[in-house]
Amino acid sequence: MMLEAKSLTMRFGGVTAVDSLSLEVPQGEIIALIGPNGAGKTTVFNMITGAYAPTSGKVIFQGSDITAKNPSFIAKQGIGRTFQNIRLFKGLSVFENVITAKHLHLKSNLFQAIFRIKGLSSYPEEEKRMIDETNDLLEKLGLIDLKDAVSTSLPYGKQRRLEIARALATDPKLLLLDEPAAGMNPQETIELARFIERIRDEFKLSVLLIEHHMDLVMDISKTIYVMDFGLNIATGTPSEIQGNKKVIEAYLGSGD
Amino acid sequence: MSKKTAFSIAAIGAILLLALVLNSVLDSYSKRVLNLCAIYAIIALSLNLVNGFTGMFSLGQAGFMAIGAYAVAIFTVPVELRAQGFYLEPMHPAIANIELPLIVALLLGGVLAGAFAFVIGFPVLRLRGDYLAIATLGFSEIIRIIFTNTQSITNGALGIKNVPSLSNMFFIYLAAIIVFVLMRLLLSSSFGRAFKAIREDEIVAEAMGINLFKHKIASFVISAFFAGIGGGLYGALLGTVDPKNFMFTLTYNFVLIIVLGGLGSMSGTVIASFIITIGMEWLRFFDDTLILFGTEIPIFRPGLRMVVFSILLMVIVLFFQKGLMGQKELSVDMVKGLVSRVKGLGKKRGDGK
Ligand SMILES: Nc1ncnc2c1ncn2[C@@H]1O[C@H](COP(=O)(O)OP(=O)(O)O)[C@@H](O)[C@H]1O
Ligand SMILES: [Mg+2]
Repeated sequence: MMLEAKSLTMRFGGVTAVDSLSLEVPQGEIIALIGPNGAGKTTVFNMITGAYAPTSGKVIFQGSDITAKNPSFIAKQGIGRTFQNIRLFKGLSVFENVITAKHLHLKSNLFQAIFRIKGLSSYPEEEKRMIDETNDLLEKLGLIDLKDAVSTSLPYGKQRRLEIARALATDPKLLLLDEPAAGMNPQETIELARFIERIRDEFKLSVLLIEHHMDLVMDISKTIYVMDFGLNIATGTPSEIQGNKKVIEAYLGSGD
Repeated sequence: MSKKTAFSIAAIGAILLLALVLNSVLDSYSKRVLNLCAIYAIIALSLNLVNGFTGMFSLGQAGFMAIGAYAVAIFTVPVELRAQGFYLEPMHPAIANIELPLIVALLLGGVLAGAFAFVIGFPVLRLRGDYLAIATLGFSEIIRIIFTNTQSITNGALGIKNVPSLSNMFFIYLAAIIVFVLMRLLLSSSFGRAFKAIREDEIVAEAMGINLFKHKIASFVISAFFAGIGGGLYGALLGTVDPKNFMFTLTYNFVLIIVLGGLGSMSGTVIASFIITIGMEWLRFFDDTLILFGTEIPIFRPGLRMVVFSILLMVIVLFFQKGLMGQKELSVDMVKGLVSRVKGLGKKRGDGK
């Protein structure tokens, strides 16, 4: 199993944002986490990535316990993520946004980076490798023509894609996507579905996806976990979830 | 060698040559002001590394400078002249006979300042924003107070006189260029990108695998190291080092410089260092009594200069938040662009539009 979340609970003061949620992401699969706004989905991501320390429960990644570890450590183990509200490095270019996410695997130390004399320091080779890999990644994701643009000057859809590129630059094994289709029209959403499947295959990823666009979710997920008020109210394949009464009620009840 | 590197080397050569020439033709006052510009640039660059490039808010520069200045003062005063200054209490025997060359003392000061930053970094760098600013400010005052009370080492409030005074422009500009180049190499490396990522968004930087604490402390220690070197040069330039030179108001000058030059711009910092340092000298008349048409203008008195500078800082913060350069660097292309824009303006006017 790539990822196992075991009865994760997160309380903020009196509010239980996530209530003993368990889920599993098998190797190479796309798994979806859905539910009305405020259900606790993003909080689950924050617990998996170490941004929040769960009140109780465990996060197991590739067999080892990573609960409440430092987020940078977790990223190094191979969990990459995007954010619900796009969070690019605003002042930096498209290229810089991506290459920055390659820093975590740098082996040279600070002195080797400053005194980077070819032959004496390992840094020049590493820098060249990072540059090549970044160009390669931008090429694959169709962002290469925009590489020198300021990241926030990109159109919305490209910004979303850049966030994915940046997450991929960390060489993740598991990719967490928080509402990647937000703000997209049906056509773009279909394209995104193909895109997610493509990167899953190309980068040998497992994917955990939070999404509101049901077409997208039904289209690409192997298993769907449904949350409402912090609770996991249903789990199943897309066809099982489609007819599930509780799920329909949760969505209708929330006015969505 | 790339064109850019060749250009940089030529520029460095030209500056050093100029420093060499000016060193022999200028009067001692002008030399002193220009030397102060270079020293201020070193310290302002060090502050910008933390505040402008790493996005932290530190106000500890005066303290790190004091460490560097005292390292130079303690170890470069000729042994035979020490007893003269240390008359309240003789210099501690462990150090009384150690005399070091200036360069060694400067590096020692840098290393000690960096070591001190490393030690206080553990508690302090867990704080954010204003809290970090207050804590660093506090530590900088603590250093000053310690130095005021370690009579047998620093000569306390009496200070250390007879520091072999440094006025060689070539030496000081060489030091400033070395600091600039090292900082440039650091900031253009993967570590520099990591610092900027932290500045832009800590949460995201962390999610991309950048260890916040490690990088913040690296930035903070390197900053202190350079501030220590700058402080050492400052002490040598003054020729006298005493605790009152390192009040927290000293740090204020560097805050002003980096805000004016642009938080996150090295070339902006250098330009602003010259503007502010020369401006400070030029504005000295504000501090003198001014008599106009036979009456004394009452607001012209010591301290007015600082008022003028505070107003300047407020104006920048309110209206020109990005400073002169924002986060950009001065480059050949930028100068070309500026020239063509000015030409363009001229043309439009010429067309009568
Ligand atoms: N840092 C926090 N502090 C307090 N409450 C929070 C915090 N993060 C999330 N919450 C609360 O947890 C609940 C779930 O939020 P979230 O996980 O963002 O939901 P979703 O992503 O499903 O829309 C909300 O009620 C939200 O207000
Ligand atoms: Mg959310």
